[in-house]
Amino acid sequence: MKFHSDDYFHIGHEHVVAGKPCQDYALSGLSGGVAYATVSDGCSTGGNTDVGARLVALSAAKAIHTLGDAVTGPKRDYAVEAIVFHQQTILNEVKTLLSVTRNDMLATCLYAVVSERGGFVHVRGDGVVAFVKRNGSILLHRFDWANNTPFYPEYLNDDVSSFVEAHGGVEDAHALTEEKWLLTNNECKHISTTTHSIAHGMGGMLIDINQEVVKNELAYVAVFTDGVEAVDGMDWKEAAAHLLDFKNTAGVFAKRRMIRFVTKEATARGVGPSDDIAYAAIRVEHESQGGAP
Amino acid sequence: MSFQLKAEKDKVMGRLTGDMDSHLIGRGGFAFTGLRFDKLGATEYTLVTVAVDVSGSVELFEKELLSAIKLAVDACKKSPRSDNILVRVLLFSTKFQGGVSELHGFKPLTDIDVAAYPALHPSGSTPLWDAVYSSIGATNIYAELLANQDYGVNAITFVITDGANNSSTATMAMIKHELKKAISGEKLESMISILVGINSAECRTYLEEFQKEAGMTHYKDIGDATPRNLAKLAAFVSRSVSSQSQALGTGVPSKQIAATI
Repeated sequence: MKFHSDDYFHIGHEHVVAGKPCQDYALSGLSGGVAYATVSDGCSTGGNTDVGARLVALSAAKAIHTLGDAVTGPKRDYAVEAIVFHQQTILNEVKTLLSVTRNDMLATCLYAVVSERGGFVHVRGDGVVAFVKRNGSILLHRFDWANNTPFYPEYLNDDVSSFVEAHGGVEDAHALTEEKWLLTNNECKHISTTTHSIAHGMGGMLIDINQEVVKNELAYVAVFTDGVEAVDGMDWKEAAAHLLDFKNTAGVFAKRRMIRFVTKEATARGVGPSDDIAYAAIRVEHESQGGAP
Repeated sequence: MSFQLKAEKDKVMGRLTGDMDSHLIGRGGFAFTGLRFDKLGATEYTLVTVAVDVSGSVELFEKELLSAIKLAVDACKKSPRSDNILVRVLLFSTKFQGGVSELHGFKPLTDIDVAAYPALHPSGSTPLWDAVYSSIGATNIYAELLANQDYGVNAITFVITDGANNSSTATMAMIKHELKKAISGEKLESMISILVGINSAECRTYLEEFQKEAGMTHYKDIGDATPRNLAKLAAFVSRSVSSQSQALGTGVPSKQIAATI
């Protein structure tokens, strides 16, 4: 089994016309036997969140590199805690060095890690997670915070009360919605809609990837910023499916797909992505496809 | 056995030959090879074709011509876009079955060892139309295959000759059809086709008329086949390749192709 990864991000139409930078960022790579994919979406009303989004993604990647194979060990909760701790340590240093402010750091953080031992996806904020099976089916998880007010990990360094206040002031209140959809050749099936409490959402949503699933079923795992939900004239599920329809898996497979998606498929419907969009994907190459045993 | 005979024998589109796939061009028995797509890791490529006349009349400057081809291809490696360039080199003469023979199909510059290019051994007549048809037809097919795999593609083709067409299977209609397809913008973002005359004073008018009638982008006359002029040709090819590759993504062909060599 071999792992490959790639990522890409693109400025949204609204940011182009408003003269804003692209505030989404994506990063992926391999660290030993672990593949990772991470995206970050900077708050459009924050400070220099283009910088914040990059720092968040880079620090997540660095934390995964630092922990190495341990991140896909049997204790998922420990791995998540360790990644968050290392990431925060890095960010604290960088913020001081660069005089980056709290408002600059308002950015989401979604990442996936996969190895032969399994893996997981950790969602801190909003966005979409996709699992593409070898049979072609796609399982989508969409995470959406109420009132267009997503959680940003930076809030935990500050006073989270204002964030909780924005959602009604009660941590037990359910402000995070998780939708699950299954896309197959024939249908787009709604699996479930679940709401989660603010407290739960602030801890980050964890999706476990079983070792057997990696071994037998998984073709790709991808994480998207919520820009995938803002493609003009296109439903978010269709946009995600387009971006996962890799024609060729050599080299920069996700970059090629998004470039073609943005320049041809999305713009055929309208202005294309109106918000910034980023995604990062891990491809699992199984033995039958040439991946070493 | 010539390349074309092999392709005829196979009669299979996309037959696997190591890292290269072979493809047929239309129904005329023409064929070409190109690197397999699972070996192409970038987002976009410029397809470069250099077709070289090796008819008998080239014998007088055979070594200088070969040096110029080597120099041109090697110089492309210095382009900032060298990782996004795929080069095909073919020879044309009636000594080849079907009029053309590939030195190599579309492949990355890093995979090309110009030192291994064999001597040209000029002989036979000039199947110019076959060379143009093969060059443009192969570019169209490979570009379409690449575009279908999400790659961005543009192209530039050089056909270098010292004489007029005197024996071809391809017809003017076939050439026009391929050139029209090439500039339609459906698969190829842009295409530049350049006919280069060398030692061609006697047939300059013919070549200029052919270029216009066929619909090729430019005709360039480099004059006599002196070492200096052939070195200029090599520089022109590499400069034009680099320029066209830098234009990829703009939606239009390079405007930087020099008016003279």
